[in-house]
Amino acid sequence: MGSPLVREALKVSAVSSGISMALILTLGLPTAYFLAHSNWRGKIFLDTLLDLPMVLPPAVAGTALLLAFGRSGPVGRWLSEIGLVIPFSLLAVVMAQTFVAAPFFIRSAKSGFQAVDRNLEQAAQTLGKTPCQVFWRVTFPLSLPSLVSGMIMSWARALGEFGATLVFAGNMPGRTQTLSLAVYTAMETDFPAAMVMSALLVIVSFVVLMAVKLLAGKGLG
Amino acid sequence: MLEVQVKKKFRSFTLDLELSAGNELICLLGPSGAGKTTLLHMVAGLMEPDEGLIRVNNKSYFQKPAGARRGRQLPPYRRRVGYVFQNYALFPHLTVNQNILFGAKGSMDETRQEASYLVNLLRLRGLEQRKVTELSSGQQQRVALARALITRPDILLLDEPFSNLDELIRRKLRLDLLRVHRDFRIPIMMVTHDLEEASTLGEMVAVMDSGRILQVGTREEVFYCPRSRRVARFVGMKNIFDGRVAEVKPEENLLKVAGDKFNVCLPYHPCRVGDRIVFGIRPENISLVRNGAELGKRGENNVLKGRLVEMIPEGPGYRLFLKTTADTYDLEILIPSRIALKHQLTVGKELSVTLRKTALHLLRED
Repeated sequence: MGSPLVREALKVSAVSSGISMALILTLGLPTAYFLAHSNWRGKIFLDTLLDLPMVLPPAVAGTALLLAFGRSGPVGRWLSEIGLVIPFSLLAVVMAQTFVAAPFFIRSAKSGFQAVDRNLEQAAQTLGKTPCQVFWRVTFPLSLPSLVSGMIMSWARALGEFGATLVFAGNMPGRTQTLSLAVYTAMETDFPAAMVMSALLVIVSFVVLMAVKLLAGKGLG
Repeated sequence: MLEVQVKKKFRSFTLDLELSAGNELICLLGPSGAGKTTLLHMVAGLMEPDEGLIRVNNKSYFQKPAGARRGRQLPPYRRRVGYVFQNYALFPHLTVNQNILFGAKGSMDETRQEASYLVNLLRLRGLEQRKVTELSSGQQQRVALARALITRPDILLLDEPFSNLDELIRRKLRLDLLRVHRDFRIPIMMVTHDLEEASTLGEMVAVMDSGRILQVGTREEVFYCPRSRRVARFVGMKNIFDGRVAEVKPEENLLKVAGDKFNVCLPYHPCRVGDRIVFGIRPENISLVRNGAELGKRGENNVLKGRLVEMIPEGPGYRLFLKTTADTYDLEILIPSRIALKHQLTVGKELSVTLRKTALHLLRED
C-alpha cells in the first residue's frame, strides 16, 4: 500500500479522472441539451459520432487519438509547432478518458433532458423566465437523477480506462500510469501490489457509487 | 384588449384568422385539429405565425406584414400572458407554494400578500406545503390558475381547462373562473369542445374549424343565429333542413317555405320565390301542443304532426326524436321532464309540435 508505485498510480488516477469529469460536465451538458432540443438536420450525424467511442474497442480509440494528436497527426503537427506535445503526458490520459467516457454522460443527460415535459419549460417561459432561467430552475432539477447516474457511469468508465490510455498516453509510472495500468504492470512484477490496488479500486468504486446513490435517494426522490 | 390577425401554413392546413375582443371571456369552440391550441400558443409566443399581428393591451406581441422577411416576435417571457396548460404543467419538484410563487415579481411582502389572496380566491388554503403530485386534478387546476395569475397577466389563456375533471368539480371551477374574470378584468381566452361549457362561460364564442374562425359573436348570436350549416352543427342546432322559398311577404314579416319534408313559415328575409335555402331550429325551441288545444295564427306556430320514435333522458329533461315522414327521425326536441310527464309520453305516440316562427333561423349554405 505504501509503495510509491501504488501511491503515484492512485494520484494519477484521481487527478486525471477528476479533470476528465470536469471536462465532460462542462462540454457534455450543453452538447446533451443541444442534442435533446434542436431540430437541426445534421443532429443524427453528431449523435452517432458521439456514440462511436462507446462501441469502439478502447485500443482503436487510442489509436485514433494518437493518429490525430500524435506528432505527425494533422492536429498534433500544428500543436507541436506551438510547443505542445500531447501524447504520453497527463493531458493524453485526460483526453483518452474524456474521449471514451463522455458518451456515457451525454447519452444519459440527453435522455434526461428529453424526458422533461416540454410543457413545463413552456409554462416557465410564460411565467416570465428567460431560457437560461428555465434551464436552471426547471430542466436541470428535473433531469438531475439522469445527470447524476450519467456522471457515475462516466466516471466509472474513466477510472477503469485501460486500452486507449495505454496506446495514447503510455504506461509511465508517476506520469501516465493510472491504477488500472499499474495493476496490469504489477501483475508481472509485484503481485501483492496488484492485489492491493485491485482491492482499492473495488472499495473506492463501491463507496463512491453507494454515496451517490444515497445522496440521490435523499435529494432527488 | 386583444387583437389577433395571423396566418400560418402547416403541412395539413393553413391557419388564417382574425379576432378582436375587449375584456370578455372568449370560448374557442371547435373540433380537435381546428387550430385552437395553436392560436393560444401564438398569443403566448410559443409559436411564431408566418405573418400578421398580435396585440394585447396595446402592446405589440408580434408583427410581421405580409411578404416581409423579418418580423417582431416578443419572446414569451417578455409578454404578460397567463397560460394554463391542458395537463396543468405544474412543476413536480416544487411545492404548491413554490409553484404559485414561481413567476412572482416584486418585493417579498408584495408577493406574499398576492399569493395569500390567490390562495384564498382559489380555495387552496392548507395545501401550500404539499407536493403538487399529491393533489387531486381539481386542486392542480387551481394551483395552475393561481400560478398564472400571480404574474398579473394582461390576458389569460386556458387550454381545455376542465377536460380532465368530473362534473361536480367542473361546475365549481367554472364559478372560480367567473370569479377570477370578475376580479381581474382581463380578457380570458379558453379552448373547449364542450358546448355546455361554451354556453355557460363564453360571453363571446368563436367557432373554429380547420384553421379558420367560422363565426364569432355573443353566445346568443352564435347559439341561436349560427351563420352557416357548419356552425349550426357545431353549436348543436340539430334540426337543419333544406327547402325552397314558396312565398315572400315582407309586409307580414313572412317567408313561406316548402321544405323537403314539411312546409313552414320563417321570419322575412330578402330572397326570391324559388330560391333554395337552409333553415334550422334548436331542439329547445320546439314545444309540444296539447291535444285539442286551440292555436292562434297558424303561421306563427308552424304546427307539425309526427310519431315519437325515441326518448332519451338528458339532464333535467328528455330529448325526443320525432318522425314526421317515413324515413328516420326528422326532429330533435328537448323538453323539461315536467312537460314530458304532463303529456304522458311513450314511444310510438302521435304528437303535435310547434316550431315558433321567430326561433326558425335561416342559414347560409357553405
